[in-house]
Amino acid sequence: MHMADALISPAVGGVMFAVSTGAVAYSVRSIKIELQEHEDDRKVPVMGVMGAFVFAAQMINFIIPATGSSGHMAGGILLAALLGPYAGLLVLTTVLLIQALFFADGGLLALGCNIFNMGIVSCLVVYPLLFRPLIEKGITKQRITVASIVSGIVALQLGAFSVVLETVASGRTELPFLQFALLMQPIHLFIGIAEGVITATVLYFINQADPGLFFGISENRDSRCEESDRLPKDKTGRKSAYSFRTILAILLVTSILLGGFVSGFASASPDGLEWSIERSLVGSLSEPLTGFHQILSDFQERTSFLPDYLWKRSDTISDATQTGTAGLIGGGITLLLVLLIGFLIKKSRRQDIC
Amino acid sequence: MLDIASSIRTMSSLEELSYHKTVIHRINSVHKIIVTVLYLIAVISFDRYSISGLMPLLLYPVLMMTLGEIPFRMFFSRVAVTLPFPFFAALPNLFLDRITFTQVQDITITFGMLSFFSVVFKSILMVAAVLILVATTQMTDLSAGMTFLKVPDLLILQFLLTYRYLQLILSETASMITAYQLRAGKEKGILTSHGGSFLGLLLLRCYDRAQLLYFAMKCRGFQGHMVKEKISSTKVSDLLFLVTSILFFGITRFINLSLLLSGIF
Repeated sequence: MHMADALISPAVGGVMFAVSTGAVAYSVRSIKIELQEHEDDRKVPVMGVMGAFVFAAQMINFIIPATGSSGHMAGGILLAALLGPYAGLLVLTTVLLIQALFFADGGLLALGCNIFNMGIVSCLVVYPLLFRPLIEKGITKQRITVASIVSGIVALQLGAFSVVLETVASGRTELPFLQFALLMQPIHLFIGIAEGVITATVLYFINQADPGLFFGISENRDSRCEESDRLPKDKTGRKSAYSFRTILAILLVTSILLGGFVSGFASASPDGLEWSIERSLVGSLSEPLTGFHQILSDFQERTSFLPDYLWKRSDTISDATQTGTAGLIGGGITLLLVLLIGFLIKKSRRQDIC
Repeated sequence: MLDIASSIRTMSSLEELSYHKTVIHRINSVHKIIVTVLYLIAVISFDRYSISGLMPLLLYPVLMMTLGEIPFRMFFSRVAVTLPFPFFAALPNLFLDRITFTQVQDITITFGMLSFFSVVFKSILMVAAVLILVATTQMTDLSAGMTFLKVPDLLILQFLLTYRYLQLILSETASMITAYQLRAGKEKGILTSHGGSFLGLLLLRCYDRAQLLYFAMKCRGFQGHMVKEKISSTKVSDLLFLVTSILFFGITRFINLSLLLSGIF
């Protein structure tokens, strides 16, 4: 799934490079906090040697019985399961960099795309959202198998789909989107199953040999406590690489900028949906409303206090200012609603044991 | 799985080449990294039908390889290994894009052909550029250059560790595979049912090695961060190389030098 340079455009390469750089920088910071927290830099040589292990593992041909074909593993889920998502991403980044430099397996400018497709998707998306919840309750053979295979399939499907999107967005090949996707997805389904099966067999073996090697899962199976102990703490004692306050501040400023200023330049022309409806359903939208539609329409008229994002058409206050104000108000209401929902959910969850 | 033996050979030969002392090897690694990246950007920024515009950019790898004494045979073998992917990825262009560009005697040249050759040619140029960087820069200089360019030191440390351990782990894997194959008869690979114990054992051995490595590093004063390599100071020749390259890439990008040349004739 390594993408070559010649198939991407500078824009796509640049954007994906930026995304991957951000994720890798965040991972580096998280790992550093974790190392400081545990005062144990043993993980550093482990990560280095694991990089070599993944490289070697990727070169081994595994025979899939009854199909006459063979498979290889990418190793993202395996790395994340043993080292954690951030260390896993860093190790995969290193492996991809070496492959790009010394083996021309994947271009240097396509490195951002490859890190995203193979590293970020498996370590930062599939591992925490799929694999981790599936084995959190305890490591048994069934759980390992199901978790590995499901994660392998999803990770490779998402990764392959990303390749399709990046290639089509770059416009260097004539392959139409649908045909390309229909080609890539089924192939990577089988590759994903193979990856999942191989990962499952390795993890099961490791579990028999030394269960302590799994990241974040302790022997007493009270994984919720272990998870909170294992997560890195920053200076304020909060369990994350960036404090909640910083993130909230950034989101707030961005919302104000977007809602307050950028929205003023939004076009008043009909958007894509409205335009296509106008073209295709000429006349049918002006039919008189009946029954339920009428009730809803009346309700909307009464409750919307900023129809079309304007107070009123006026000579003194420009449309841009009005839209900007509407954007700020709308953004503010959305923010309050979201915070309220989050607060209610937090209150309703049962307290942690530890 | 003969790949493993050839991978070890590739890395050894590239590393050996990087220890030569030519004018290209003496250029500051930071400048070489920047020029390589700019070259790659220049190549991929050409549109999908460019071929004549790209031609002058061939001068960079040719000059660098002759001045850097990189064997052309190695270049061809590396490129041949990487060509299949762009070849097959661009092959649909030949069949899907059949609008005629021009007719030369009886042969019709379609836009599809142009885009196909463009993709393949770009791949060759870009593989050459990266190969030149690696073959003319030692690992220590490369990591020093990356440090200068603000790559996180943890990432650089992982890069060096993985690179160093790669040959060792690959050799061990090759031995394990040979031992397996001697017992497995006609199988061409590892059975998936054996994959768990095969990879698992390799993984545990890697962990043990990492443990030994950790103690060795601690005995030598490792305190969690790498001692930063310092790059050599910038010489006039380095700046000349950088400026000339940027000018050349810039001119080639915006003016089609091949057309200019044909205009003279």
